[in-house]
Amino acid sequence: MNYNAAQTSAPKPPAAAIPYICAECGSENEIKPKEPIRCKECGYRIMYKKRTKRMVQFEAR
Amino acid sequence: MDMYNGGPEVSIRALKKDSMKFVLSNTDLSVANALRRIMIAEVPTMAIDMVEIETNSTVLTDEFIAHRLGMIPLSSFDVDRIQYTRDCTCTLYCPNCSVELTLHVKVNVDYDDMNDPTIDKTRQVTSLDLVTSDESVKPVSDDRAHPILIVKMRPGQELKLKCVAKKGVAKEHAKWSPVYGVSFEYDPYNKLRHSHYWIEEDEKLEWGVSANAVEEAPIDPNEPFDYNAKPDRYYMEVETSGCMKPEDVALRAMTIMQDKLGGLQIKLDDEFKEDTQRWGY
Amino acid sequence: MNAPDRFELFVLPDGVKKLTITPDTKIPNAATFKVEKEDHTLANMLRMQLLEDPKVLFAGYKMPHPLDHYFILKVQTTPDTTPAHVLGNALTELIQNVGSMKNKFEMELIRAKSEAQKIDNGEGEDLSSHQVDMDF
Repeated sequence: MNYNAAQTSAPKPPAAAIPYICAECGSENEIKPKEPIRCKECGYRIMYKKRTKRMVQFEAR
Repeated sequence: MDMYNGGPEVSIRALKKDSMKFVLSNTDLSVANALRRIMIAEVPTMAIDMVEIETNSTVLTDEFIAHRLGMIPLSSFDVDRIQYTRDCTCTLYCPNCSVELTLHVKVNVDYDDMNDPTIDKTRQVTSLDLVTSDESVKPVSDDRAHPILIVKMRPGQELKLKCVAKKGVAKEHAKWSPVYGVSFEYDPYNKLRHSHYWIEEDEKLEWGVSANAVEEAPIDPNEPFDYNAKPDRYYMEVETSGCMKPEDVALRAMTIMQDKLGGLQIKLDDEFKEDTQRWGY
Repeated sequence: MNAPDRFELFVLPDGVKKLTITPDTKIPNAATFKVEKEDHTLANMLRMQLLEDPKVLFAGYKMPHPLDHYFILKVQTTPDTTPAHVLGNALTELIQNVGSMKNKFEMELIRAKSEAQKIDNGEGEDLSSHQVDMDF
């Protein structure tokens, strides 16, 4: 089986540290994919994701 | 041609900053009603129609705040200068068809104040916080002590957004209505019997008469019911949101009425020209 | 999800005619006018004005469905004129009427504002029956 299709996407960069907010102490934690979810300051295991940097548009209706 | 000879009459009873009381007479009910309908739903105004939110850590959701922003009345006395966005030649929107307003409020944390529970650290974000790009279109505020409340915030919260105000009519969304209410009454003594009151015993005792009754002659008990009489005195009051003067609302409404009728007349003539044979003479 | 755009109440799409006239096949001197993107505001005014014309035998309007934004106006006249002609007259009368109303209103405005000025200046008659206050 030789799928001669061209590769449309390059391999994703593994180091994509996304900042999350700890639910207990509110500190910002950079977590990489596959990394265990744990706050670096208080050890809490629930994280909130930050609001997107993309602008959101609404119809004022 | 009709019983209303001489054309309509207008008499202004009161003229204030935000409201106007007037009496329209010697015209048909349908014309007075059309004026009322147009004043409410078809006089164009400016209102925020699109909100781009960059940051919102308040207790209200994005769409909640966007809805509230849309409902803020914006001064629209110069709205004739602005085009409708759908008619404008630009792509998306431009200063010819819209006005940009921005809002950025960040409540800073003061650590001393935070320890004192008696100090009220609530910051009220109001219509005064909206910054406009065009001085002629801004939130209505004749009383800086009572602006329109958008959202309340506490230290640490932030709200940053950009609004685009566009021209529109209330037929599309009620936020574009220039009036808060148009009161409309005719025949206060019910001589025409247009109203059928629910009564237990006596109509006059249970319902009474309205304030406008002073303007008309009371019923003469010996008078038989005049079945040919038509309504011809209409007591109206217009109260605006402050976006434009009440007399302007009425004048613009009359112009819109003329345009509607004139536009239809042109279309009728066009149909005529197209097929003169069918219509003969 | 299925809601049509609100601007469909008044925006005439491309290719759609504002006014369509259909002569009636069975009744003489009768025609049906279909007006797109208009409502009772215009329809009722036209109908009432047509009824004032003695040459009009029948005039009535309806909006077949509230979700379809148009009305049809049915007119029947005496043989010496046509529905289109009579409608044209009605429109002219109405335009004159509204124009005259607008003029009278503008004049009344000038009068009312000048009365307010007089009160402000301390002169003029007692207008206690008119509560005019000028704080423009």
